[in-house]
Amino acid sequence: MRALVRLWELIIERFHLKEFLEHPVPRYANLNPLYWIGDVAAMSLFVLAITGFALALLYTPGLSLTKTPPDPLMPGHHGKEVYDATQSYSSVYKITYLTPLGFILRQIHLWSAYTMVFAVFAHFFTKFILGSYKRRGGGALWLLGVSLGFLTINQTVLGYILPLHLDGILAIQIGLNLFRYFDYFGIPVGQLVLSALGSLFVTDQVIKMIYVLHILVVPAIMFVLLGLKINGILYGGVSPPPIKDEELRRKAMEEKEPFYPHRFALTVGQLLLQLSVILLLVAMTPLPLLEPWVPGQQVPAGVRPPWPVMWYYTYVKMIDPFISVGLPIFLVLFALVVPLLDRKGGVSIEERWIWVTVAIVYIAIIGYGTVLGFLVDVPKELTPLTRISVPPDYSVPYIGTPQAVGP
Amino acid sequence: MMLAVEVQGLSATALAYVAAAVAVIGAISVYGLLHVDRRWASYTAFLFEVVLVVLFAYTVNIIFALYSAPGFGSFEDIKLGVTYQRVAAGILSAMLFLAALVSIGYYMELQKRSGGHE
Repeated sequence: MRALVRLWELIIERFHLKEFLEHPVPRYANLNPLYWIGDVAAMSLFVLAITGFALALLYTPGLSLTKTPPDPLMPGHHGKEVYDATQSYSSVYKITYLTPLGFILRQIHLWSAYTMVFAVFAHFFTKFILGSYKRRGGGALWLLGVSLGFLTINQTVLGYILPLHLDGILAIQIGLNLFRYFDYFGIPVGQLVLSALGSLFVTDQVIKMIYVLHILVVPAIMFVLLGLKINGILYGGVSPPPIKDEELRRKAMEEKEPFYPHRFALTVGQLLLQLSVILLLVAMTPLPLLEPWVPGQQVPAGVRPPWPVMWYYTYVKMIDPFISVGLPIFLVLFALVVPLLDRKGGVSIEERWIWVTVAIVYIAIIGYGTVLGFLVDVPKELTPLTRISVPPDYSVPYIGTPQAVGP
Repeated sequence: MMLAVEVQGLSATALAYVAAAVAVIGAISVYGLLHVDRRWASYTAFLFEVVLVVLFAYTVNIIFALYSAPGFGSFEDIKLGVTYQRVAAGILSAMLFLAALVSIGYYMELQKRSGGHE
């Protein structure tokens, strides 16, 4: 035991970790769960990177057709049929069902992704309500956070496309349609993206590009931004507590604990708890691989996206596309300019109730769309209650299906 | 079930019940002892962790034996493999939960020691 303690002391000394480990953290940030949500998102990113690395070794993108057995987790699938599926789908099938512990690996990746998206949304709204961008350096952290949130949603959609199930094809259609929105304003973003993809329909090349974006490009940017964010928090401190009384707020900010062992023990506990919950979800509610897509096949009605983007899908179907298709762009742009608009007053909730209301409206827009998307099977006939109509021309995907040439 | 391979060992359901019993008793004991003495809570958690590690190793052993058995690959085999993997995930979840309890318990004790809010 003594030797281990000596070794630990030696590591801290030789790697110059003392200053980092003992940096002071305000006690209120340790005790208030609102200050842990960002950690949950960051930890999820690391879990995703580790599991994603293992998955990337086993996954092969491609469109060539192979015979694939049915998904044992899908209701209504029986052992007798064999499906035609793409190489991408088939390789995910092999990882999930024919590799020992591959099932757990993929499920942890999926549930961690959902945990991360949930934590990112929760962290965003928490910091919005706390007015974290008002402190010195808070605006830069806010900018980094919004960019990271945007990239997280991107990563989710890109990852969802990779198995090339029907839901993944729906994701690529909706995702590419978003770029077309800029064409309303005469900015040919949609055409630029299509030129980069080099095809009007999903090809080997397109799926390879999505794969590279998902495993290399976007994560690399995310880790750089996260590094900058952690650096900013380390040297700029955490958000001040939402207390109106100046004296009490100052007192709370002065009460500090060293990061090690205090916050360190808490963070380790939180990571273990988070992993425990994710594994419990894997054991109790495993997610199926869904129906395979075959090149040329149209996405049938009834296929719907997962919950992180369900709100967007709902609005695209029920509101005029001029408003709905570009909604995420407006939400992100608005989030970026919030620190410029909300500059005066304190950080307590009573002092900035207008901005708290704006945050609640923000939550309501996403929450209402998500809940409605699950309750109502979009598309359906026009009803006065929900105003849901069949998809307008604008939501016709950019990516069509290959047409047979010649006899 | 039309299994191409046969598992010689505890069924997935039996394993799940045993693991759940160990996990629940372990979690209640550790949580209770955290209010008395953290040191004893840690020892108890370690004891339950050892039992769960043995169960986990046993389950993983079955999974590897199943997947490497000649003739593995039928629909029923895959379903069985998934069931055992779900049990393994549950056992791992319980192990991490006990470790999390001890870690957060340690923070709570640090709070008390430094005259925190308690």
